[in-house]
Amino acid sequence: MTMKKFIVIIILLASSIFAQTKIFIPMDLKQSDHLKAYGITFNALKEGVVSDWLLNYRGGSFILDYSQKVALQCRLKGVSFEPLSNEQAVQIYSFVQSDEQNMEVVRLEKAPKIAVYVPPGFQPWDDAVTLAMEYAEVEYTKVWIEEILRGDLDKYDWLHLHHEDFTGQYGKFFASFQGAQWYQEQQILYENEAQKLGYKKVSEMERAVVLTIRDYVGAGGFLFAMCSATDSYDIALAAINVDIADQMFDGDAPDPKAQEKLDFSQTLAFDNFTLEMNPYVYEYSDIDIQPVEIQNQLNDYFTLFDFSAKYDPVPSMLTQNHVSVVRGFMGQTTMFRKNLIKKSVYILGERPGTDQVKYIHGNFGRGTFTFYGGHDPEDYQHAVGDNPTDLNLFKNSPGYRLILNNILFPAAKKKKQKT
Amino acid sequence: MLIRPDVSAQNELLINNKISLAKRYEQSGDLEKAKKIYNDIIKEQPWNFEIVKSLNDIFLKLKEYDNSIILIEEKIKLNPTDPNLYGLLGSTYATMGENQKATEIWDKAIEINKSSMVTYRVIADYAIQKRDFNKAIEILKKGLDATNEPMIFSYDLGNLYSITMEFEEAAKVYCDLLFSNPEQLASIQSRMNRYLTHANSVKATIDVTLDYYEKSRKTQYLDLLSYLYMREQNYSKALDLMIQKDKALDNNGISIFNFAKSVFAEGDFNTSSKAYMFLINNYKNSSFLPDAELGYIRSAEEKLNSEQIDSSNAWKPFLENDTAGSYKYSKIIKDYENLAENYFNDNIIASAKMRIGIIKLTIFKDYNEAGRIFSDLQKSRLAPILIVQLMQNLAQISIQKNNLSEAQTIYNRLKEIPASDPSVKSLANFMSAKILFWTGNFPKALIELKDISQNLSDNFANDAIELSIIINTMKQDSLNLLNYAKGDLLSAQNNFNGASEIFKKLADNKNLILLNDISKYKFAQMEIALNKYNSAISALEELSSGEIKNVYSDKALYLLGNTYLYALNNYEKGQEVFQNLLDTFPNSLYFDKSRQMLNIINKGIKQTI
Repeated sequence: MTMKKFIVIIILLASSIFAQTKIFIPMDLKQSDHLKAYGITFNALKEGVVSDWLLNYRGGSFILDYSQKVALQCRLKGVSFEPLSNEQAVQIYSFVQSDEQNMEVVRLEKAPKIAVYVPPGFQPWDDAVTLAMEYAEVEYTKVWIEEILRGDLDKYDWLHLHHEDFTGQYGKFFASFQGAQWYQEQQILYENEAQKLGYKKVSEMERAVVLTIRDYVGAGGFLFAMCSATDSYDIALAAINVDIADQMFDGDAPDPKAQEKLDFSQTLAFDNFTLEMNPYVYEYSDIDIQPVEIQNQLNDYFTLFDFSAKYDPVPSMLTQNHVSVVRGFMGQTTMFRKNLIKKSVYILGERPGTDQVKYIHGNFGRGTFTFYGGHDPEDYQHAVGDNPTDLNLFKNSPGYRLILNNILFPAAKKKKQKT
Repeated sequence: MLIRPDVSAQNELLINNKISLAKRYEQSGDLEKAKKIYNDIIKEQPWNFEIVKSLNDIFLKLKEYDNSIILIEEKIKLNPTDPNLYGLLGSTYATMGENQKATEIWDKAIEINKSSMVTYRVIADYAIQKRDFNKAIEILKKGLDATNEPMIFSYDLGNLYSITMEFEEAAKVYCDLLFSNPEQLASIQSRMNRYLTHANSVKATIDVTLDYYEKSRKTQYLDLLSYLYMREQNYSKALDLMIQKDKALDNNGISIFNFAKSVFAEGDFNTSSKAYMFLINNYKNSSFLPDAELGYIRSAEEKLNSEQIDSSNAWKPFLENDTAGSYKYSKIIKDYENLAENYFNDNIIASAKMRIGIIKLTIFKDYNEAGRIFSDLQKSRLAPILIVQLMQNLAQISIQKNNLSEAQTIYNRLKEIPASDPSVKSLANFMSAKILFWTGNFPKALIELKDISQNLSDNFANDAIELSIIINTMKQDSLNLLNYAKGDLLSAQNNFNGASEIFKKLADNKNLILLNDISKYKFAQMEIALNKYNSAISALEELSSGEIKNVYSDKALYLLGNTYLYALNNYEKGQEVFQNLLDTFPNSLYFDKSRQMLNIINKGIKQTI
């Protein structure tokens, strides 16, 4: 950045902020509750408070216009903050904007509208995405199949998915849980929904859902998916013209040549993967990393990539954190195999020295998608029926922070891309 | 004659090898080769249902539905009554999406074998496999009506209703089964458990069960109902039903006695009281009568305790002795005395006397009388758990009577008793160190405190660390430290005036680093206990204001906020103080508590902390 440009920015900033003091919400180790800090910023945006996200500055901190209300909310929610004088605020802005620093100020404009894909009757405790939103007090709307198929996604900036199986194989829990009440009820719930919406099979209904979601992303929507919603989504897209579900899932046999008929040009993130067609094996394909490959859970950490905040603001936003090495966690889909990830996709977090990738991001049409492997960042091996994670005990969870990074970036004011 | 069996055996071996080969091809995904082999085998063994089924599976996997139909229809011609063949044929049609045709074929199978319960179950299984639950329910209901064998059909039927979330229907099926098979109660409860987690499922099940009971008056429904009410934690209703059943069957009351004990442990003293009263009135000659009487009085005592708690003062760190409501316990003491006199049961007598002693100690604050009772008890043979309880109370009395060496001896003994649980041992360790501190034996107190503070899982580890810091900082000034120890002892003995005087003097001495701050805080605590809020507020404001913060500033702010809020009802000032704490001490132990207090103030709810 030239000195002339720098001075212009300072003058512009001065005109808007010199008149008032600011609230600085640090997001480094000084923050007492990182997760609620996102909620404070989100809700301040909803109320029209001018808010800036300082990428790479003290863990990706926020600066908001000062108001007694925001200060009180910070106190009530236990979020650390520092009131700033005009002078202090300008110093921080200048520092962050200087060419020497890999930092950037991103002005947040409006609170995005968030939809979370949740089957009816499901509790937030079994879903890290809703758990994070509930804890941070970020407003979201639950949507499910009917809402998606009738076109409700147009109303939202974000669509968050978690523990979903878009292949119509009910999470491939058949071998272990076919006799369990919850499994049987879940299957009936989906079958009834398919019948209600005029589909002969659940897998056909899921195909319509994945295509609608893809259209939504293509038209500029933002998709965030975790756990099995990641690979099962792409598998469903690849299998858009072929039956891969066995008879216990959809009543008839899968296509014996299903693997050969997969169309990888349809997918967002993965290609050349091999399906796991055995209905008794709890896995969809070879995209997912197996526990035996992770070995000792004590060594399961992934590293977040460091992006140029000025040149790559979106991946930078998605990787803001107070630590760069984050403890791993398992899920039905734990991590992604690197050689099956499309070349166009950004790798945001991986286990160095391995082919195991935790966190990826890419563009599709005018929108973006972000996939995050694993089920619950603070419960290493979350099993069916386990108690919900109490986020009051994990206020500073770096793993959960990554989920919440995925609510703010549609709020960011669009800037001309630096070249 | 000898050759024929060999040929037959060889042939059998050959066919088995072919089957294995076909299965291997099938597993490897080469369905065409598997199909060819099965077709060969079936020519030799047209009667073999397993081969028919395997070949049919291959047809379905290859989506060759016409071949499947031809194959099965051929076999039906050979064996026109085999329900499995009809089941398979119907399934093929269901797979093709021709559900009407599937239903017709399954119905035909039943028509052919109307009286066979096996046919109903077999065909229902095929319908379930094809996810046609309504048809499966219809078939099982027909089977139940035709055979009148609820044990064969009801569990499957109930399960189908529950997974389709028709809880009322599921309950009806299980209640029907229970009518004729009361011994199935446990299995039925276990089946019901699978769905009772759903909202409204318990209510639907209770309503149905009540209806069955009203109509039949069968006592097995009372058992089921009390189980359902207990699941809802509606102990009172559960008890009513247990009593109803007990009266109806002339039972021995044991189940009600066990129920009373568990409800007492759950803290529902009204219901436990009612249960014990029923036993006392109805089982005068039973072996558990003394225990029931003891339980009844204990329930009454606990009910009275909960009425006596003064929630408006619960925020205070120390409370003045208040014996105003003690007269209400006179009847309970009398009841315990009568119980002890009426029974020659060592354990009952000891338990009753122990309770009287505890009431004298904690409610009447009559240390002499309580001490006399406990000393008498010491001479009796006691259960280990009562010994531990007795010694804790005796040590407390010794402290109140300023007999510290006796208290020290008792705590040392408590540490050694194997029956003491870890929390009691932990208390004994800390109190032993405190007594050494109170008596001025600071070096030995430090040694004992070190042991406690090194075990961070010990409940008293924090207290031990805090006391160690005070002793270590002030040990060069043993005179003032001894004064502080004296004030601390007086506060433990509820002599708040005496303690306040000592702490005030220490607090006013500016030369006593650390000790004057903690003394100021202690002084404020004593003044609050004595309802002298203005002097307490001055001391707490001094501690928490000013540029230089001390280690007690956050603690002082928290107590100050509570004093404004609860003693003076000054919400605004309370809010200001808690906000100040949040701003100034983000890492304080009182941070979360202050946030909670702010939430309480903001919601306009004044709650007991």
